[in-house]
Amino acid sequence: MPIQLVVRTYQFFCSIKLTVTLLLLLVADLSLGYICLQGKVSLFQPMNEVGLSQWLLTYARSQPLDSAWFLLLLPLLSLLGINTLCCTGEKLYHLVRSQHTRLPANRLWLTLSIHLMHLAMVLLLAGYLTSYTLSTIYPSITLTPGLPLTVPGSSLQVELLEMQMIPYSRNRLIPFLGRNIDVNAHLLFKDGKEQVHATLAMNRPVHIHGFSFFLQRFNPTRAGGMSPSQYIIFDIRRDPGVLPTFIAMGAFLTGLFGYLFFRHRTRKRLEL
Amino acid sequence: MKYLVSTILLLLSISLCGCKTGDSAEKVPFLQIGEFAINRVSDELTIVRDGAGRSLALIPRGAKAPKGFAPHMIIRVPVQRVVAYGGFDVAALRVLGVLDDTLVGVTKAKEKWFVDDVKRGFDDGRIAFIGDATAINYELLKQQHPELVLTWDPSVIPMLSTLNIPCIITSTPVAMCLNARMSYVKFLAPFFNREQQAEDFFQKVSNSLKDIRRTTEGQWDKTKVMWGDMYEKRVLVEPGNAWIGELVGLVDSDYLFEDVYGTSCIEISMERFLYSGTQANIYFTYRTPKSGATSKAALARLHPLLAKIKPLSPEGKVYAPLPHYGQSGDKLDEIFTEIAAIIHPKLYPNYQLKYFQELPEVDPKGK
Amino acid sequence: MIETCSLAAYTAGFFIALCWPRPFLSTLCIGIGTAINFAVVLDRYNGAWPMMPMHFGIAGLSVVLSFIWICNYGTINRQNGLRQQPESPILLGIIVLVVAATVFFPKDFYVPFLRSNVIWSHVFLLAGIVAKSFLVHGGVKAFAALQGTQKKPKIAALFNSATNWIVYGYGLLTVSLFSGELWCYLGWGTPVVWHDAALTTVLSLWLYWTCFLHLLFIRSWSQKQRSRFVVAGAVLVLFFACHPDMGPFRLPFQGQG
Repeated sequence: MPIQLVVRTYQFFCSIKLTVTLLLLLVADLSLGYICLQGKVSLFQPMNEVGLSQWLLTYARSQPLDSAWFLLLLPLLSLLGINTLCCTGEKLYHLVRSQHTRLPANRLWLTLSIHLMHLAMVLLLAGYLTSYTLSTIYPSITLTPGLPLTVPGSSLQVELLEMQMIPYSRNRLIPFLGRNIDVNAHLLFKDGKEQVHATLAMNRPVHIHGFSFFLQRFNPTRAGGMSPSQYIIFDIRRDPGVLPTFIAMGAFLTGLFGYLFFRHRTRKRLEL
Repeated sequence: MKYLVSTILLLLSISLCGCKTGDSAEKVPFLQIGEFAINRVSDELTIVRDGAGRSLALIPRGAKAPKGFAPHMIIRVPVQRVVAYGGFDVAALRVLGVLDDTLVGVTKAKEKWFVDDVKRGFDDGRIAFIGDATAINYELLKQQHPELVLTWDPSVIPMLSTLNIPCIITSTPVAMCLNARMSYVKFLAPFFNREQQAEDFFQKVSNSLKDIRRTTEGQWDKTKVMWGDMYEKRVLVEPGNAWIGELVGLVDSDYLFEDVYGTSCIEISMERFLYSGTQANIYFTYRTPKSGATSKAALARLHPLLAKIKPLSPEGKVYAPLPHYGQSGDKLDEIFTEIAAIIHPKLYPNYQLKYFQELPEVDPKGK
Repeated sequence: MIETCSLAAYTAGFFIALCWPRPFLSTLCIGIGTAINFAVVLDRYNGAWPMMPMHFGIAGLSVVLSFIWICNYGTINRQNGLRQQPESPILLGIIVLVVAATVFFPKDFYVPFLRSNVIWSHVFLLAGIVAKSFLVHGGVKAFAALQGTQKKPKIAALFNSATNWIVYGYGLLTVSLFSGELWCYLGWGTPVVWHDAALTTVLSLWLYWTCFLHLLFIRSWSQKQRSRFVVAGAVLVLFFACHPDMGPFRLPFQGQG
């Protein structure tokens, strides 16, 4: 009986109709999310800082109607992941067992590209989940020159040595005239006797000892402005989900280019 | 497939119902106020999220420090000594009834204060001027032995951390909505164990809003309002998600930046400001009379393009906040009523302005 | 308000194409409209550079759709006339509506933000615009395939052509989505931020077209049903491409500094 149940569940998850249903439900849910997100940034933003489970227990619980779409998104994405894995697993099994000898090379590569995209999709979803459940985040850390700080939960010390401002160099945007649009913050990391120099800037994180530093804000935003004090504000993150996510993206893109390339060749061959 | 869809919908409805029952308790375990949040983990520990997204622990005096929080991230309550940067924070302390006992430092000199309690504090030697917000005298600050600093300036965090003084960032990346503005005292309440006072204040302002709504309901003649200013290179306005945007909507009028979303004093293009200016009837400027808003002509002189907006013509009206407006956060009910009276003068006959000043066409002679 | 001139040229081109058998004249009008529109859009992009212009998608969409129309129908019009290409006026109508939305509902008043000063934000934006244009064009072709006046082989050709546009559109949408995630990681430290509606809409569209590609493997779905699905998808694309970038109604020629 339990084996039958397992087989039936497996068969249920191997259905492409289930894929279509789940995808359409996800589209409807995300469209609803788009509506719910209007003016509700403050509700979802803390998820980035407190992690998924804590966010679900606090923010989502306190505003269930506005976060309902997201609560629904989680099981739908999980089901899609299982469905994708089962479908691809089954197809690959059959491909390996019987069909690979009969398929022409282009067709085989096309099929393999599609399967690569599917497997990448599963890895991508796993990466997202890992990111939001297992990350350690220390948000909004302020650093000023001359006052080093220790990264929470470690012996790593970071000091801001110098801030090299990058001013807006064009003249098209009047509000940006005289304004700094980026900064090269020269940091010194110390861990025992080891010392490492690194430069932190907007969209240029620093990775060290498993921690990643992401610049949020900096000051002064303009020379001679009202607030002359020098500081940078950054988030420190330790996110084990990032690597699988990016590997998955690379694999998906490889599969996608393979699909486009071999689809084109297969169609040409059929036309001939 | 049908079963799958129905199961998902069922699970969703159960989760929704479950969540609703959790909220009905009087002392809610979790409260979000705009960007701020209070999470009552246990009787011994409350975790608060400040405007910068930092988590700090509130624990009773004498309780054991919780794990995972640096010393400068732990605040022992009720807090007994506070340094406050902003007038709005000082007003919140007043609402909670703790100003006299707890405020020990401010970043404005005595002459710049309009709050009697603060002036008295200066006279008694209890409150110290610790230097301008951009040039804090940390020696003076240290001498005041504050247990908490309420500030909008994150640059002071590293120095305060080395002094082991916890601080809360009170400014937020998204403008405070009407509810957040009214509930801000609820965020500060657990720092002083003054939840009841915060609730009373919230109810008072809430009742005044109900009165305003009752008085102004069904006004067909929609007044168009804008709030912001033009500076040399920048145009800053209050976005539609700010409390003023909601308040103008509440009194059945149009806030012309209702579609703008973002932080308080958000920067927009000059074209958009001027376009809205061609439609507006009432214009609130950020400038006070001290910073040049003495008349419509004076404003036009400050920025000639500003002269193009309708409120600066004789058909429109321009209002400037009076100097004590920024320190009157404890009179939110009066401020809201005053704004309603400005927008609908016929509904509030003989109303005397207290927090804003209507600008004359030209400066009075002799000035 | 030079955009208004481009709208006038587009509208003239549309009505000429629809009512007056002068294909050359309609192509000329659309060409003029596109040239003006392209200049405006380029100027706006150049103005915001190195940051990303805010709420630019709708303006970009109108330009790319115009180029698609000129490349696919501008010259054919001259040879065969409209009857051979029923999707041409449909696409023109969409272009006119999108340009009208940029003129009457502008949302270009936000100042660019500093975090968009990275190449991935530009790839996210531009690949997204081109992808959405391809998908809309696929939808237009599918709509034409649904019209009863077409012959069977022509319907099949139209549907195949629509599928091709969609497949390439999907590829570009994937590039846009992943660039967005990369930018998101570099700027915010996480590949997905759920508080940003832009990512939600792109993800929603991506899943929709993923669903379409799966439908091609379900034999019980007829070509007609798939075509309807594509048309519905194109409407969704238009909604998600236009709605977030539309502000309140505004009359042109007012509020000039």
